[in-house]
Amino acid sequence: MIVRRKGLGFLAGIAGVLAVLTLLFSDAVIEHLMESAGSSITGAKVEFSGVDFRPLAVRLEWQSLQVANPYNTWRNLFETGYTGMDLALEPLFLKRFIVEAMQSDSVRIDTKRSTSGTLPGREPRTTSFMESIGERLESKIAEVPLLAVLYGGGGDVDSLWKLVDLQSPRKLDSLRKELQGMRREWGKRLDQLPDKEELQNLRGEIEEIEVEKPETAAEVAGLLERLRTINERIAGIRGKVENFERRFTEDIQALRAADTALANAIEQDRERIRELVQVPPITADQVAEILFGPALVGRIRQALAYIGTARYYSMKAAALKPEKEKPPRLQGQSIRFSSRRDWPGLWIKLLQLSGRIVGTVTVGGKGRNISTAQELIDLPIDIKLQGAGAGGTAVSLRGLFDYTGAIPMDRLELAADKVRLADITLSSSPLLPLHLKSGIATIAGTLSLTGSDLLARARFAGSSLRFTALEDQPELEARLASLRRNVVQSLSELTMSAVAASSGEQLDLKIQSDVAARLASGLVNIAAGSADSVRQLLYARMEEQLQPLRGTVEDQLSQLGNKTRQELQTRQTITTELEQIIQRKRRSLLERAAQQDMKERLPGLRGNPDEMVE
Amino acid sequence: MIIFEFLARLVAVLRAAATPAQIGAGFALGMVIGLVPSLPLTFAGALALIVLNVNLTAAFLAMALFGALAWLGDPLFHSLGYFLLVDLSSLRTLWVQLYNTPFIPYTGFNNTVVLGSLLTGLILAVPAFVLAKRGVIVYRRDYDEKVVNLKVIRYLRTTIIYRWYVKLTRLGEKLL
Repeated sequence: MIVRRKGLGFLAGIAGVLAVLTLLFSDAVIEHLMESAGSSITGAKVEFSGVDFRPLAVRLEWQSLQVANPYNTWRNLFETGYTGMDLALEPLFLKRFIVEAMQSDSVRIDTKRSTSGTLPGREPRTTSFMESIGERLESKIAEVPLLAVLYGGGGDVDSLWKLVDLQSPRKLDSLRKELQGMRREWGKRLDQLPDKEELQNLRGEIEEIEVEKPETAAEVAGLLERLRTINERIAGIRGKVENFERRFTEDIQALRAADTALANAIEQDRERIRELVQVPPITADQVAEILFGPALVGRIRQALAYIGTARYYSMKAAALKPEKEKPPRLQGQSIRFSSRRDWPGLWIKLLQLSGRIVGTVTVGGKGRNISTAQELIDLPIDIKLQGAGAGGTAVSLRGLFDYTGAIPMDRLELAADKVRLADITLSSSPLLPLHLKSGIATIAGTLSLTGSDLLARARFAGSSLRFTALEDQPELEARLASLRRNVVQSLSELTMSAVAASSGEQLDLKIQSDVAARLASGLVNIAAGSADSVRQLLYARMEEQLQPLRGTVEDQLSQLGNKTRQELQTRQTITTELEQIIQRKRRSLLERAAQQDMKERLPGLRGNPDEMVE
Repeated sequence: MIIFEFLARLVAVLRAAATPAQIGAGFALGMVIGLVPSLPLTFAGALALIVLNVNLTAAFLAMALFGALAWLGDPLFHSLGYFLLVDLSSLRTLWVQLYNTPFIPYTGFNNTVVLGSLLTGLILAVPAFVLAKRGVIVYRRDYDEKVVNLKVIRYLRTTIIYRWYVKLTRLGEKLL
């Protein structure tokens, strides 16, 4: 007998046991498998509860689900309440989950988690295009001047002082050294001038000439000749002194010219300080970026996280290329032959959602063709949600994630009208923190990503706004604190619009807001005042550095001038005095010669006694 | 007690099919199962082992032996499978038809190693059956008595494992 009847019985027994085990444990096993598979796909925790699989109806249900955000694991991408789905049977045998219809209630997005959704041993996920755009957006905001000058300024004076690079102290020191050399030089020259002793000797020689003694014309002529010779020597000394004085005066004038250059250097240093402490160009756009940039970039990054997740899910399947590979041992290479059985791992053909967002707004909508391999089904993910709430609140959200072409394209559109806001931070900037207690807003935003090119637009118009009072910040300048208070107190309406575009390495971010415009005009005045204060502090430091050097130079210059002039004056006085004595003696000699009738015997005497001695 | 009964039935099944042809068939089937690294095909092979009246000991022996050899033969199976699935375009129509036939794709036939090893196993099954059957006949005629009287075998018969084996065998025979 070829067939073993007992074997058939044994097989039937095993099948029976398996059937019982399946009935008892299938739900728990499926829950575990789905959590495990979901976590491996998302890269963060996926947690189901109340899973119920009905094999005969091929229907799967669960009571709640939370999917952690792999990019921020303390928040969920979304949560659901009761969810039921009808599955296609045949693909299940190939581990393919094709959902014909799915109904999910109590859907909420971006909810807080009580525990981290990080998988053990895994870091939160990032993708290159997301990170690239996110980082470039953040660095763009960081480019905006921080307006440090507005925050006191004292602390910045030291760092600015290091950047000044003053030229005038160096010039002044150089002048001081030049003056020292000049003093030495003129001291030596002064030593070479006929000294007082020489002049006193001449005085002695003059005084030795006794005008009463000559008796003859020859004696008178001899004395006159001696006086003439002495006078010539005195004239030579006078010439030397005058020449010395002229050259000294020229040198001093040259030094005065260097002093003018120093004055120019000081003026240039002051100009340098003026340029260094410029009031930053504070524009309304920049202030808007400071105020709303971080929050806006955060939202864009959050949207990119959703898109990153969608792309990660939907583009997992590789292109079908039957090139020969080198697979691991006993793994082999699977060759695909037709598309009829190339189901994606997951394909939710129709998803009906209902839930709540932003407090009391009830939303509902449909998602179509949510799949893990769009190139296999050739249909994009399309999600449309609409909601309404009390007071005419209307919300609509559209998401289109199309990866069927060569370049992946994503588009998110959000429109919300008369949304009641509460406890929301509009700006966390220290310049003007804006925490909204209550208000009504109209919000519109679109974000499209083609490949890695981003274009995002957002518009916010708030009314009936009430903000939390600003906390005192002692480090803020009084004028800035006052400006902030005034702006917040008078702020009941606020508009803000933003455009962010990124293509390749180029990134543009433009944010405009009425509150930013108001704040900017106040800041310009405050910044100008602060910059002026900083400038005065730097001028004072410059003067502190220049003053001692300048004093030294002026003292040295004064000493040199005084000493030299005193010496020259002494010599000039003595020479003048000696010349006068010579003149007197010559006259006396001539008068004596006239009295003694020596005229005819005095050669060269022509009636004018001065002619003889010169 | 249930476990003992299960093991007893299993041993009885093993001893119940001990003709040279059953041993040869078990060996050939075990060889194919051991070579093919496909869970659905292994499962189908296991079902065949249970249902067909072949010698399971020989099958398990062959599965273990050729399971190890499959690792060595993997590059050959991969190349053979790739040649059949991709390079041999005349067979493409067949593969496409099989691929679109319900349940056939679950065998993983479109995997290069599965197809290569399956084809190798099926080709080798005939000589393996003939050689194993012939080997059993020769063994029983010329060597069985000598082997049974070997000191090692006699020693093994005194061990507790053998005594358990005998107990289970008798229990199985009663149950059958």
